[in-house]
Amino acid sequence: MTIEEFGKFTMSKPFVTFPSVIALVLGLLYMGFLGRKTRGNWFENIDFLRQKMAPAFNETTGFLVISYAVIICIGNVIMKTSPKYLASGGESQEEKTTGFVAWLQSKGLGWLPIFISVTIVTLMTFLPINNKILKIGIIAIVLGGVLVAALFFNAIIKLFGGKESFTNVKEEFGHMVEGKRHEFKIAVGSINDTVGDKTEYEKVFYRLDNDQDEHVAKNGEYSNDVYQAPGQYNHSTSGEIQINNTEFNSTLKIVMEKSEQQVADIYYSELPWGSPRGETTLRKMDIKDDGKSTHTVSVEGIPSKLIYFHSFKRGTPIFKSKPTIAETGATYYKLDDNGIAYIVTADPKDAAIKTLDTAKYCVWEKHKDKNLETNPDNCKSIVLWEGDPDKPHDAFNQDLKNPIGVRINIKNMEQFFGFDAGAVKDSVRASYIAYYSLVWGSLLVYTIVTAIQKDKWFFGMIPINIPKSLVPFLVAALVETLLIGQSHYSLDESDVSSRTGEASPTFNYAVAGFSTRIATIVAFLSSILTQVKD
Amino acid sequence: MQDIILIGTLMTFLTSIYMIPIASLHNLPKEYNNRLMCILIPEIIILVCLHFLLLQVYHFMEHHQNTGVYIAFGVIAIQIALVYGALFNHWGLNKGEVEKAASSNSATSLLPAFDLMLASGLVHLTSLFIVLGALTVIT
Repeated sequence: MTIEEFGKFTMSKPFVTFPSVIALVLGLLYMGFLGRKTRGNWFENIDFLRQKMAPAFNETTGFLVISYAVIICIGNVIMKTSPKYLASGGESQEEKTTGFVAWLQSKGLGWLPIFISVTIVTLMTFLPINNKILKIGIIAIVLGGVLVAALFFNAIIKLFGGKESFTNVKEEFGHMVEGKRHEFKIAVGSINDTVGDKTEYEKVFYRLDNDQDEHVAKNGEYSNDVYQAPGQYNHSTSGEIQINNTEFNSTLKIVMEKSEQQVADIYYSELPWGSPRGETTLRKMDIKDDGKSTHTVSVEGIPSKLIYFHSFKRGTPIFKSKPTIAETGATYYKLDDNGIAYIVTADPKDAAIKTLDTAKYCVWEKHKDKNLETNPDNCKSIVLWEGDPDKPHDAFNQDLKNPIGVRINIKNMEQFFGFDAGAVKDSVRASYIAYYSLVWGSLLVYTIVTAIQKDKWFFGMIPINIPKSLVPFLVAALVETLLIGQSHYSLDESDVSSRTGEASPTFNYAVAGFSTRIATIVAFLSSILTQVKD
Repeated sequence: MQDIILIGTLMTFLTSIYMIPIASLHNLPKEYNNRLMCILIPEIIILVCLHFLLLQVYHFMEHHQNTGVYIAFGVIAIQIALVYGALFNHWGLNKGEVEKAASSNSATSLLPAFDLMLASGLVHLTSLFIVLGALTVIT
């Protein structure tokens, strides 16, 4: 944490930090005042402290300190390797109503409930009420009441706020198909946008493939039938959709909607229209004889990828750069494998060669006045590059002559948030090493110290005489080490970034080891409680 | 003696149960029911146990007005505040807000509820071992 970050943190919680700092400063001043009175006696004080604390430095307190550290180490393993159940949501989550507690958090007031709770408990403690149970009851009721009031505020905000749009939560949070992550599929198409009785323009729409039942066909393969008609949900024509790959694998499959209503040719690119070198990523969506043409976009190994959709009047040839038009006679073109036109010479034998209508084609070109320069009327929707050479992905969001095309942002969540499975495993490994060192290193140290106390140094350790009272704890430590060792052994095979929701052996054995340590502490507590005199 | 046994039992029980909501808030469960079972119920049990401990502190306060009792009160009050803060910051959000908050974190942890619960767990663990250490020295 930098000084600047610390400053921000301090200022964000003024009612916590300032009283704490004032109390600390006053405490230090008071300590200084007391210290001044006993000036010159520091060494005596330290020696007195040593004498007072000496009885506490024995094998039992040592065991407690080691147990404390062991619980933290195993706790770290359990936390880091616990199953990752959750996948990320999509665009629709952004639109949901914000409640009172979310509002508090957004204002940096997430600490407020702590303040309220401390105030209530302190107030009730020092109020002159003799009935202790009544005090506790009032604390519980008031704290519960504050929580209910916060939820009540949520309900009120919902009443006055806009209605939440319907979303298929199942897909937002992802779902597994036969226990495996699957590629994400969308269908795109074009429809006439009718406003009243007037057809305004042809829109590109996208539809998420989000019905689990339709994923699996009779033969166990993913069905393609879902693309045959627009669904009732997640069917939209506007804006930018966010797709996170946490439940899906890193592949997006785009297919053309199989529909008689297609009114435009649809293209997609990985840079906005006109962005330098973006033309190499331009592809045409096509319906082939089998009714589908699948395009695959992968975000494997990269944080995210934006896909831009553009649409043109049906049959409009698209060129990557301005074509050379013949000065006399006709100009001919042909489509490459990606559906992009290029100029060719006439060849009567090649049926794929067509004559170019100069009033019809469009070009991947930098915009002119926020519009295409060549045949702009043939463009139906487009995502135009803003024109800043340093920002090839930046596009206009408004004030365009043509409607804005759809954008899809696919995020590889592990890469996007910098999730590093290697770093997590390193952290877990460090905990294992600390565990072994603490448990068995402390035993070694204990044996050496005992030998030194008997003036026998190294050879005094052999044969090792284990006190009978320590035997059960040693057996417990051995069992615990075996469990933790098994957890460590399975670490390399465990996928710590797994979203399968299934607990790994690393996690399971760590939980077993943790339980053993808790059981040991319970046994220890019982043994000392039997010695405690009333 | 019975008070000490009760406190010891409660604190040991708390040690074992604290890990469940901490681990669950670190990697938030997808299913709402799992969140109820692994986070809400343990949090409520922890709060109930802490209230019992507070009751014991009130009992001690009646007979011993010394520094140790007030330190114990402070520790329990802080623990209650932290667990309550975690409860409030989690269950005051609606389902969509919880999912969005967890999705915006690389480990799918629910912040600040996770931080608060972890802090409470560490305070508990430290106080437990200090109490056990003190008992050991006394005996």
